[in-house]
Amino acid sequence: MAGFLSRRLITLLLTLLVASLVVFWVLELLPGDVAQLLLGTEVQPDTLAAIRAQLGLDRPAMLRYADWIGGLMIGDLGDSLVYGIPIWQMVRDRLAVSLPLAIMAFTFATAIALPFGMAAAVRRGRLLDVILMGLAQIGLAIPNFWFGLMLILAFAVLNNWFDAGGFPGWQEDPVGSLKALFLPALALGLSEAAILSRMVRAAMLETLGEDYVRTARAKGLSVSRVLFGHTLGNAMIPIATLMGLQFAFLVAGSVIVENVFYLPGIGQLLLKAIFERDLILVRDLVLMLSGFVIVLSFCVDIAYGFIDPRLRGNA
Amino acid sequence: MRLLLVRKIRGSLPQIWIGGILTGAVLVAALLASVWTPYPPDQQVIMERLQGPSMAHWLGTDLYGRDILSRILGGAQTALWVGLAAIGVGLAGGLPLGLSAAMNRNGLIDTAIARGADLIFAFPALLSAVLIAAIHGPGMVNVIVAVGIFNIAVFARVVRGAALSIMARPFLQAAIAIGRPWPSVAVVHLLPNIAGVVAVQATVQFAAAILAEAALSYLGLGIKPPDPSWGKMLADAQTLLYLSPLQAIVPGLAIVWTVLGLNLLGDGLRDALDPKLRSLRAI
Repeated sequence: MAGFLSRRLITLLLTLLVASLVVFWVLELLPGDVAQLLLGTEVQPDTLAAIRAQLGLDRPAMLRYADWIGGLMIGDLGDSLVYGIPIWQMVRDRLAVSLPLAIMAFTFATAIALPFGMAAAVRRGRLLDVILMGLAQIGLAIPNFWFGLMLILAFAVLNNWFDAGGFPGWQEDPVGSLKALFLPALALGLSEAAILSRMVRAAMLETLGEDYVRTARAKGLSVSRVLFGHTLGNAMIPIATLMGLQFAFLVAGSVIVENVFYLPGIGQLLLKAIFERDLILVRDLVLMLSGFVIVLSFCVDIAYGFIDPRLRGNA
Repeated sequence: MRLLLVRKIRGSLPQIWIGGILTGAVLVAALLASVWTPYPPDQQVIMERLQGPSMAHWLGTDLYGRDILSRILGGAQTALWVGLAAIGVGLAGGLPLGLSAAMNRNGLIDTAIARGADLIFAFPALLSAVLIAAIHGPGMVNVIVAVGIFNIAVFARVVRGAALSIMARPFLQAAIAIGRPWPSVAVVHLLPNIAGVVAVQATVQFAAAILAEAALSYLGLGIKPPDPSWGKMLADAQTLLYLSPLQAIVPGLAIVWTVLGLNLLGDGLRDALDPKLRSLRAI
């Protein structure tokens, strides 16, 4: 197990390293540098040189990369070019919106997917199965931002039950904040629910076909006993790992849903940074988001190794 | 092999038919848009802006007085172009990479390609697309590149897996044993046998590309105005939800229609190719 862990850990660190290199170099490829972008093309050469020196742009790229990574190691993300305030501060404020949103969306997705997937598996090939999986297909085809728009149309425009967007802030109005996240979480959770319910169904069907399930039925246990006592637990192993990976996609999906509902989260910050050409912020945010995905899949891998010892050997 | 596939499809599953009809309709709309639309998609008639459905404008007009039906048809063209081109980029890169990885199983090339794909998958597709579009600015080519790069990794992985399963078969072993050179083995024996799997993946990636294009255009990082794009239409419609909700409904339905069609087609083809899966699926 120690060997498996250390091999995985080395892979994780290497992947993170390469990912940071990719993010850094991709942004280096930009025409003109940060100073030029900040000051525009009409600037005096000596002003440009001064700003370059101030931002450290006159130093070789390799050194700047090392500075960046060194800073990240001690939790220093640098300052935003446009706002001039520490990036960790901006990220912290935004996480207070994005994280609850992702968790809420994930809860919705799971709450829909588990019963739907199980019901479809149990009634496999019957009308209920066809209807539920048909719904899942439609759910997969609906873009989350359009679903968000339709929710706004239905619950904010036609009925005045929710606000069309915005976020009051946890301190000012906790209930209102929770309410402000409700529709976005629903929009974000829908396609996840569709994907998950298909996975739940497939995992359940696979487990239902196992010999021990047949044995359990044959010795006279009731359907519900077999379903909840013998099948669900075993089917949950692949489902739980897939859910871990899906959570990462949810975080990426929040980039767009936050913009639909004008939520001040990480996704909205990223888009703003892109349009304002705040490259240091873009670099940090992209690495943070992809780093999150990489670490999450590492955790899933490790969890799999713990659950299923066969996977440790050929890691 | 091909005959077998045709026979399988013919005696086949409802989703192939439904998916085929939905996708076919989009194809017809896109082809139609290349020769005729009720009005030019970017023709602005300010006097006729924000009209509801009428005989003159079946789906009404937008903020600039442009005919929405014409823009939906034009958007179909955009969506299909982006989808096709992104698949093209993915295949052009992924097919040779996947085949070389399979032939070099567990060797240096295989490992390098596998790690490269891992790295691309580490960035959620939408995120890397946003990054690429952010660097190079909005525009159709950049959307295609952004989605295409992700597709290269997808196809490389699918092709490698499919090729490895075929390479274990006796007829391929025989072809290698009689000393056929690798490129010829790949083209004559491998490609025709993995074509089905690749086609299935292509339909799925097609749908994903259309969703990605819509999302990027919605964010303002995709198709540049005045070219019609469903995602852009939705972004424009958002501010007008109170005044003209139809504008927000129709482009979304067009996206759902197209993606649903392609996904059903992909699922159906997959089941037709592998009957073992059929028993596991409802739709």
